Order: sequence, then structure tokens, then C-alpha cells
Amino acid sequence: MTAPALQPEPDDAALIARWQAGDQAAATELVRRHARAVARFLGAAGAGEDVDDLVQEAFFRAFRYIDRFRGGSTFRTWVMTIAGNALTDLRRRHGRRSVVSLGDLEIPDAAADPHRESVARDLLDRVERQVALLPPMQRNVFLLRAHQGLEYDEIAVALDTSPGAARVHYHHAVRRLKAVVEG
Amino acid sequence: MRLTDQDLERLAPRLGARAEARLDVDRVAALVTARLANAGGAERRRPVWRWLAAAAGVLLVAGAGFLTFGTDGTAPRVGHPVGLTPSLLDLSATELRTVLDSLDQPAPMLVSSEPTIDDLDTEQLEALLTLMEG
Repeated sequence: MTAPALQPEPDDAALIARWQAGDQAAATELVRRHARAVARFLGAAGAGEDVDDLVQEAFFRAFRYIDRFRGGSTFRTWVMTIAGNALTDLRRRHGRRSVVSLGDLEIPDAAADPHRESVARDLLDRVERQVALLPPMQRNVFLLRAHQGLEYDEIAVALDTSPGAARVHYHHAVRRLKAVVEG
Repeated sequence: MRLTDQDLERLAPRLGARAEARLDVDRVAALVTARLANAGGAERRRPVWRWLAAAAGVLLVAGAGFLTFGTDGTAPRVGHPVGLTPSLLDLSATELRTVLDSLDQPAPMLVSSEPTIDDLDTEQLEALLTLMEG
């Protein structure tokens, strides 16, 4: 007797099609598949205690306006850009700066050297604070490039800009971060 | 502290790890689906409906023009340059607004089990296009 063949997991496009056909479980699966990455993106952007609410809002907007997703970028990247916009909206509404909790910082591998660990922690602290303070476009480009590893072409599609403009935003973001951290 | 581009690229992926670890994915998924259910599902556009609504509008105008000009190609009578103009001119502002509002609504037949554009075969589609083109 042969074992039953395992069904391959449906890809995002198949799940989106199922959701559009009225299958709520498909939406749940998409959230489970991508929510952690979106939360990490928002945490890196300085969303602080608002991460849960913003992840929820990003997916809600994504499904509500799913017809606007053209597949030029991945679904995950698309939701991340929505999340970035939701974070910007939230800051505008509340007129507040981002708050970065020290608890959000991951302690980098410092080879168990207390001094190096302390220096690395301080560096991460400063970088994360400054990423959160970048203009929204620079912040999103920097995170999609350095945090998510996207190419400029993909970033351009996701953020509705050109690859050249994305490269310039990234350059400005890096220069600004280096200046602040080094200063 | 000297920070290179490579340092930044090495640091960036480490950002936000705690936020990821804290997230209750199942709770978020439940809340998202509940909100979507309350909101009435996705804001799905109905391109076929819109296309048919536009086609209905074109047919209305074309039909009115046909009635006005007739089949002999004679010009319309003076004072009635466009087929529907006399009747539209007779309407009050409120009645005009009602007519315009009704044009924005999907036709009832489109949400029923009546045949839609997808149900038409090639000949029927060609006939429809021919009629629209006059």
C-alpha cells in the first residue's frame, strides 16, 4: 500500500483567488503565513506597542482592496508597504514620534563578550531609533532593501516609484543613519 | 563609532525581532477575518457589471438616436436635435437627479440568475457589438 501523496501547499495567488471566491479560511492562511514578517518589518520601523494593531490593519486593508494587488510584487511585500503606510497614517493622526522600546532590540551575537555585547546593543538601539525617524519613503526603501533583501526593481514596484528613485532614497537613508550613528 | 554600509546591512535584518516574537498570529488572523466579515467582505469590483452598465448606457443612446433618425438617415426635426432631449428637458431637477442616480446602480438583472455577458456565445456577442456600433 502506498502512502497518500501530500498535497502541496497552495501558493499565495491560489489563496488570494480562494479568498476572492469567498473562502475565509484562505484569508486566515495568508495572515498566518505572512503576519510575523510584517510584524518584524513594523518593529524595525519603530511601531513599538502598535505592532499588533498595525499588522491587523495592514491585512484588513490588503483584503479589502485586494483587487488593487496586481502581482507586480509579492503579496508579502505588498502587505508590508500597506503596513508602512498605516504606520505613517497613525503617526500623522496622533502627531507623535515613534517610540522604540528597548525590549524590541535583539541582542546581536557578541561572542559572549560583555563589552562587545554592550557596544552592539547600543548600536542596534541607535540604528533602530533612527530608522524610525527617517522620512516614510526612505524608511520603507531602506527596510525593504536592507531588512527584506529586495532588489531595487522590486522595491520600485512595491512603492510605486522608479528603481533609480529607490536607489536614491536608499542612499539618503544610509547616509543619514551613518551620520547620526557615527555622530 | 565608524559605521560602514556593510555594518548597516548586517544590522538591518536583526531589527524588529522582538516584535515578531511577540505577535499572536492566531489572534490577529481571527480579528482580521472578523473585521472583513463585518465590513461585508472584500471591496470587489465587478468589471462585468460596470461594463454592462456602460453598454446599457450606450445602447440607450444608440436606440434613442435610431428612433430619432429612423432608418432613412433623415435629419432630426428642428428643435429636437437629440432623441432623448425632449423628454429629458421635460424633467425637473429632482427627476433628473433620480435618473442619474439610477444609472449608477447595477441593473437588477445583473444580480439575478438572468444570463450575463459571460453567457453569450460568439454570435450573440457579435450581434450585440453590431447593434452598439449601429
